Amino acid sequence: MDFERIKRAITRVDARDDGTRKTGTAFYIGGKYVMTALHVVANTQVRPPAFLRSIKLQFPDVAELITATVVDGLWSADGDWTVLECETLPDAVAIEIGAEPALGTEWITYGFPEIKPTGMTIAGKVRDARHRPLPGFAELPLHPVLQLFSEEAGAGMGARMHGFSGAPCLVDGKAVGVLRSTLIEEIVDGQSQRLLFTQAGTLYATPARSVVEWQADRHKAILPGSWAPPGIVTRDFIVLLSQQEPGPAQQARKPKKVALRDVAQVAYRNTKDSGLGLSQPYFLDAAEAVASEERLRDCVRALCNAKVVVFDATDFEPAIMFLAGIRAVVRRGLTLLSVGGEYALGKNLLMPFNVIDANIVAHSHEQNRSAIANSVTLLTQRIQRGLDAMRSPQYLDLPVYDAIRRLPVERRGIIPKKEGVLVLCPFEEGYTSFWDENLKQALTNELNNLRKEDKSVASFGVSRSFELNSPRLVTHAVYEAIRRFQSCVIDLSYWSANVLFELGVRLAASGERTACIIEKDWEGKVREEWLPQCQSIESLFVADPLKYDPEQSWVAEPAFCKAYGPDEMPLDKPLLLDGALHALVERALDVDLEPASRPVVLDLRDQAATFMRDPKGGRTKPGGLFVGNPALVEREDIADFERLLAAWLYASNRYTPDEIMDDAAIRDAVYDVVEALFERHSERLAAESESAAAEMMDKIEEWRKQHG
Amino acid sequence: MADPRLAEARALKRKATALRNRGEFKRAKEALDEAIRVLETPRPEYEPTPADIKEVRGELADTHGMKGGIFRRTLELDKALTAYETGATIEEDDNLSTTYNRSNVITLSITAKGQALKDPEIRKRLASVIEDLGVETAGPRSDEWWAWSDLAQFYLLNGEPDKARASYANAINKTGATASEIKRHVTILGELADKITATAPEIAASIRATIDKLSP
Repeated sequence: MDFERIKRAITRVDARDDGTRKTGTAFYIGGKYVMTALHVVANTQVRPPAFLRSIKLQFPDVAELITATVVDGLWSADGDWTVLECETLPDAVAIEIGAEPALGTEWITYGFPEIKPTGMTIAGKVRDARHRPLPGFAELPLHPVLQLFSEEAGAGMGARMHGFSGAPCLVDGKAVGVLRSTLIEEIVDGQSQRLLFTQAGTLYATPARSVVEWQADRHKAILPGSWAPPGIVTRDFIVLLSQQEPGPAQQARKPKKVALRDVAQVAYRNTKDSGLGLSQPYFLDAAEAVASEERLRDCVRALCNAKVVVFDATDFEPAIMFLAGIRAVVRRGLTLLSVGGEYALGKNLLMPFNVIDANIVAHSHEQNRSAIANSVTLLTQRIQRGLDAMRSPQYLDLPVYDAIRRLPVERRGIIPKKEGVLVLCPFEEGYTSFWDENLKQALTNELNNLRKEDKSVASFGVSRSFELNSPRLVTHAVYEAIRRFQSCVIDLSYWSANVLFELGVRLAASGERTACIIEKDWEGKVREEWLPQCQSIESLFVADPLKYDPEQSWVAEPAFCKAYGPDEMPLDKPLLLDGALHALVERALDVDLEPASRPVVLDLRDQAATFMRDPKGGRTKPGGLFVGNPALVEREDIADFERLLAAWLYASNRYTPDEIMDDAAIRDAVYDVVEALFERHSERLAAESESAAAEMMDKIEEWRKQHG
Repeated sequence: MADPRLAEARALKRKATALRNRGEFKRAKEALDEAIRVLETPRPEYEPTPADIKEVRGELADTHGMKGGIFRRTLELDKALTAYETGATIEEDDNLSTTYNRSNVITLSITAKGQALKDPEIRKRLASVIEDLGVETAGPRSDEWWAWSDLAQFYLLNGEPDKARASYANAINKTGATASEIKRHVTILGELADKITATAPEIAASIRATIDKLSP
């Protein structure tokens, strides 16, 4: 590590505004950007923070001060960091971001504390890389922080570290955090001045990766180099490849398999000029996507953001099914499952129950020989048609999205763990006896232990997906249960495609406890090419104490009572099982696409459309199902009119004409509504509504004429 | 990906229908003229397939038909007939499944031009459109009110009341026609009956009997 070079990238910050002055440290991260703590340049006691107007940076060995400004929107109050843009380029080498440090790792920094404003180096060790303060104590926000120890900070009665805020916490020359605060003791001196001393040599830093995550959650890449999120999170066309995808070794063999990568690339080229606005496809091995928590987080963000995701569903691999389960919850986008190998449309395919309704596409030589369409044409057409169909709020290509959101109001609450546990497990023949004799017995016993004081019968009990005792469609009942059960035990043994899909659904849809269990000797039973991805999934989701011996009687097997019951183990590690993946989805999902964001006027317009007769000259088609029943036909015609009228009355009373004109979505929807009213129901319109609607139609027409 | 002309022309046609129903006939006609211009101007950026071309021609015929409808409302019957004839030519030349224009040419030739049912040109047109509608109502247009009601109307004009009755039964049972659609058809039947009372009293009587059955 060239510490002298690094020091030249660290600058003193002097921020002022109407008598307020703050000092601190910042460091150069590339381009025109420097990073610092938010409280160095803003009053963070108010929300939103009040930024100080004058910010000057003084780099070592540089006489001239550099003026800087806060980059619009690029700050976090909870994370206490912000990015400044320099007026002139600093003469320094950018400090790169470093990976999360391990416990005990040595760190160092350089900064400009008030006790040594000309510059000072301190160092120490990482005590906790993921410190999450207990809620209820105001000392730190709930944002995870690095807890650091430094001898300099703890020396004497504890050094006053003010001014180090914003300095990089460096490990091997890379920034792993941004210093933000210390554990402090406050003393008032003889002149009634508050003096803050660092206690126990303890400092806190915001993890540097949270700056990247902040951008990733918003699907933006603003900062340069290693401070930018990975490319996948900003793409809207993702292709997740399976282990069946031909790699360089397989390419040499004959006959070559058809590669989904090639098919998707050509399909992209075919759609590029058709105004669909898709980005280049981003290809990712699903096995890679689950190889670490960090990669999984990025992939989940991408699944929340991408307009189009194509999964290589050949053999319905575990990682693919898991990610498809997440995708099914997080976005009403276009999701395609493409099967390769020997498969072509029309051939028999054993589909997992959860995706049995999905419209599969194929990439294979057989498909290329098919009279229906070759692999490229098939994928191109599905993408084009899907993006067109997706404009409808009813569009679904996987079964979960609406089923898990639109629950009846009386069936949305949590089902407490005392009322039962949802078990998502395989239904293979070999598993049945284990379920009957072991797991079911064990979990029932734990449920009884939870209900010791309660003599009534548990409302749900120990339920597998097919045993939910619901009159609803099986898939709807399962997804409702996945959302509502406070306790869920998932058995990953057998690596069943359905179980993996349900795991994805559960982790995305629920922040409640999900305990993954697995038999100890599973590795010898899984397909060899799946082993790495299964090992990754296991390490992400299965804690060691939750691995069980299926031959052991449940009475002697401790894993089950650690998964569920009065003695269940905390699941804070692995973190993703404790609601973290759900929280990530909450941050990364596209709020504008959620059903609640849809303007009422659009919903009414679409409801009307379900009843309308399309009036196309001599080719009018019926709207309803029982067209020979004139009374019903009349009702449908009126239903169309009433909803359109409701949409118009709502819009014309809810918004001023200017508000309608200013919002593109409302403007277009209102135009559609009034146009349809005149097109199909002009005889029914009352004079007053008719003239107001006509006026609005003309106004929008005029606007369109003026704006091309 | 469909031919981009189709979406643009269809939007203009929807607008034209709304304007027509508002009584804004001039603006409605302008929208249809614009739709015709859009449909007749190939897009250099898009290579249409044969299916696209047929669909574009179908929309073009339909747009001329809509123009004919507007002229009919403004009582410019000659222009209406010209517009229908333009559309009918496209329907015939391109072997389209629609008969909207051809049907209106027959109806308007009788009601506006005063051509007699016996006129060989009318007989020829009737035979041709009955044949085409017979095929279409057995297939892609089996759920369309205007196809069945036109077929029934032409059976009536052709002196085949039994076939007309069967067609009306299908029109009512298979297409979910609204009261206003039936009313519009009854108005046309009334105009026809009035026009042919002197020259074909039996057919006029059977048309009036049908009007009675169709009216609420």
